[in-house]
Amino acid sequence: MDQSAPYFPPLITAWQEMTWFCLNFAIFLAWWIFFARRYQSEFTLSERILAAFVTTIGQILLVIFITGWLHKLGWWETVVPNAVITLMVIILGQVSKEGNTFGHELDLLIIRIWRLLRSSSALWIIGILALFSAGWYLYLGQLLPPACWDAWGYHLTWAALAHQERFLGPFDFNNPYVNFFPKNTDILFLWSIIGAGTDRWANIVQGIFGLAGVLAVYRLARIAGARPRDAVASALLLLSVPVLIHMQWKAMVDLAIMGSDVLAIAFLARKRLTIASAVLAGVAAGFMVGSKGSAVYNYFALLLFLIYRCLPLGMNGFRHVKGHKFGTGLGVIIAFLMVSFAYGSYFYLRNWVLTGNPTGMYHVEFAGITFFEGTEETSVHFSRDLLSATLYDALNSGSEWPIVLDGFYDPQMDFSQGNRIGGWGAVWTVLLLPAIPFALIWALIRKKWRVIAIIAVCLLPYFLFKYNHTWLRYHLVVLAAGTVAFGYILSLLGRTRVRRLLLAAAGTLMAFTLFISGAQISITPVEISNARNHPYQLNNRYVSFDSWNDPVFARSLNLVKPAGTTLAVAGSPPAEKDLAFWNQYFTNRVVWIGWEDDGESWYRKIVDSGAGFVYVPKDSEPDIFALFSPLWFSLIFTSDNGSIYEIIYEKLKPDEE
Amino acid sequence: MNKSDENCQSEFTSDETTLDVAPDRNSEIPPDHSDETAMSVLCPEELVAQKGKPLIGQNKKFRSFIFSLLVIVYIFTAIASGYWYLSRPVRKDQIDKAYVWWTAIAGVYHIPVPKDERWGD
Repeated sequence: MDQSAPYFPPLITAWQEMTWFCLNFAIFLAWWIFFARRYQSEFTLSERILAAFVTTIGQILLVIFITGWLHKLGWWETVVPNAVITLMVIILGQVSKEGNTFGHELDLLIIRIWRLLRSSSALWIIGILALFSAGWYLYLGQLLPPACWDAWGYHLTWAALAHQERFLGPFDFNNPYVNFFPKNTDILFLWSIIGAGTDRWANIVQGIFGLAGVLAVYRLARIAGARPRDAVASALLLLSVPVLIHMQWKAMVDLAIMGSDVLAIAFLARKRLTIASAVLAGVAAGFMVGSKGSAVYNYFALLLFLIYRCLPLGMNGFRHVKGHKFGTGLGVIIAFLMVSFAYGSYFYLRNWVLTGNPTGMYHVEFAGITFFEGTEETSVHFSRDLLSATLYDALNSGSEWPIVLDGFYDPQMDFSQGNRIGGWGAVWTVLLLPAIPFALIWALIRKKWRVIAIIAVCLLPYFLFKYNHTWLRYHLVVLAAGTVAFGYILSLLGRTRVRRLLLAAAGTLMAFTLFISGAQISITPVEISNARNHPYQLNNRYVSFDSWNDPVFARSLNLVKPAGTTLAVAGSPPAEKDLAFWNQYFTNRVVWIGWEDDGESWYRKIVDSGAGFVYVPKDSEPDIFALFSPLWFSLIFTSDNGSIYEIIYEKLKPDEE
Repeated sequence: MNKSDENCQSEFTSDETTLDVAPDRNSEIPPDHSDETAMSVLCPEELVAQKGKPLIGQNKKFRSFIFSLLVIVYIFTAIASGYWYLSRPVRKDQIDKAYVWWTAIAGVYHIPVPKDERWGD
C-alpha cells in the first residue's frame, strides 16, 4: 500500500451511504411484512423470507431500469422512488387484518432456529462453521478491493460507466463485454456504487445470493421430503464449497445465478403452484437469465420443470392437490413467462435492436442452423495457463468426462478468481456427489417423482452447457442437487448411527475444506493487514492491489484521476482491466478516444472531450505520436504497461509554431 | 382443511421421514415436523391413500434389503472418494500452505498461535 497515494474525496456523503444501507434493509423488511400479512396462509416462513428477497431484487431492478431508461441514474433519482415504493408496500401490508405481524414472524423464526439447534448437536458444529465461512468471506469482500479479472474487466467497468453516463448503455467504449453482456446482476453493483459511492458493497452482492441460495436449497430439501434438521444441515454444507464461498466476495455473477436459479426452482417445486409463486419464480428466473448468457440453459431447464409441474399426467408427483386444475397450470405458465420475460429480456432485446444479434457478438448456432451471425464463438478457449498440463492434454485427447471428474476432485493448489478448475471441496466429493445416485435410485423405487424432478432440474444445465464443464463456477446449481439428495438420505436414515456418522463426517470435512480454502484465495495476509490498517476511505484500493506487477505504473495511473477530471483512454490497459481508470469513489470521468486516422484529429478529439490526461498502450500508434508531439503531450510515465501523457492545451500545431 | 394446511403437510410431512426401513428407534425427541405454519395438522388421508405402490420391492423386507444395500454402497463410495481425495499429492501442499496462511492471519488479528517447529518460522 502506498501511503502517499492521493486522497480523493467521496461524492456520496456518510449520511447518504448510511441512508442507502438502511433503505436496502427497509425494502427487504417491508416486503417481508407484506408477505407475512397477506400471504401468511399461502407461503411458509422460509418462503416468505425468500419471497421478500426476490421482490427486493425485483423492486431495485425495476427502479434502475426506469431511471436508466430516462438517463437519470443518480442517488436521489433512485433512492427516492425506492423509498416511496417501500412505504407503499408497508401500507399495503398493514391494510390487511390477517396474517402475522413482523413481531410474530421474528418470534417464529427464533423459535424455529432454536428448536432446530436443540434437535441436533451436529447442527451446532455445521452452523458455526457455516457462520464463520459466510462471515469471514463477506468481511473480506467489503475490506478488499475487487479481486477478480471479470470485475475489473467488465462487471464493475460497466457499472462505473453507467454511473458516469447515468444510463444503462451501450456506451462509446471499445469493450464488447461491457456493452453487450446482459447486466442484471451488474445492476445491483451499479445500485451499490450509486448508493454508497464505492464498490465496497458491490463486492459482496453475490454473498447475499449465496445466503438466499442456502435457504432456497433448504426449501428444496424440505419439499423433497427431508426433515427440517436434515434439510438445514445439508443446505449449510454449501457454505463449505470453495468455489461458492470465494464467489461470495467477488463482483461476478455466477453465485447470483445459482442463488436465483434455486430460488426459482423452490417456488416452482412447491406443492401448490399459484400465480403468486409463479410470479416470484418469474422474477428470480428473469433476473437469472438477464445476468448471463449461459443462464439460458438454466432457464430452459426451469421451463421443462414448469411444464412437467403443470402437466396433468400420472407421472407428476405433485398432482394430488385439490383445485390444481389445468387452467391454473396454464395461468401459472403464462405468469411465469411474462414476468421472467419482463425481467430477463431487456439486454437481449436491446442488443438485437442495435446489432441484429441478441448476444451482440456471439455466433449462435444450433443443430447446424445459424440463428445469429457473430464474431465470437461461445466455447471457452482452453489454454495451458488455465489448466494443468495433464488436463490440457486430456482435453485435447477428446475425452471430457475424466476432466470433469478431475475438476470435481480439486487437483489444483488454488483457483485464482474462481476461473480455474478448482473443485467443490471435500464435502461435495465425499458426501454430496455419491448421494445423488443413491437418492435417485431410491426415489425411483419409491416413485418419488418430486425428488427426481428437483435433482434433475438442478443437474440438467450441466449437461446442456457442455463447453464450460471444467469451470465449476458456471455450474454451481449442481451443488443444490447434491445437497437435496444428501438431506433426503439423512432423513431416510432417521436417527440411526449411520446418520450420525454422516453428520460427523460432514462437519469434519467442512472444517477441513474451510481450513485449506483459506490458502487458496490468492490474497496474502500482508494485503489483508494493509487493508485493515488503513481505513477504507484512505485505502486507495486500485494502487495497493494492482496485479500488473508494476506498482509504479499503478501509482502513476492513480495520479491522473482526481475527482472531476477527465481521463482519455486510447486503448485498454494490460489484461483489459478498464476499471483501473476510475478512482475508488468513481468521481472522475473516463472517455474512450481510441485512435483517429491522423494525429492532429486525435489530439483535437481529446481536447474536445476536455480530458486532462490520456492513457495509451505502450508502443501503439497514439503512443508514438504523443511521444513526438511535445507541444501537445507531456509524458508523465511510461512502462511496458502503457504510457500516460498530460494534455497541453492552447498550443499551436508544431509546424505553425 | 384450508389450503395452507394442505400445502404444508404435503411438503413437510413426507412419508420418507417415517420410513419403515430405518425406524427412529432411539429417538428421545419426537420427529420435528414443525418447520412451518400448520405444524399440528395431521397428514390428510386423501394424500396418503393416493400414494402409488413402489416400482420394485413391494415386499417390505425386500425393500429394506435394497435400502440397506444402497446405504452400504453409499458409505463405501464415500470412504473411497474420501481416501482418493485426501491422498492427492496436492493436498499436503495445501495443508502446509493453509497452516502458514491461517497462522499469519491470526498474527494480523493479534491472536496468539503456538509455534510448531515442523512448519518453520
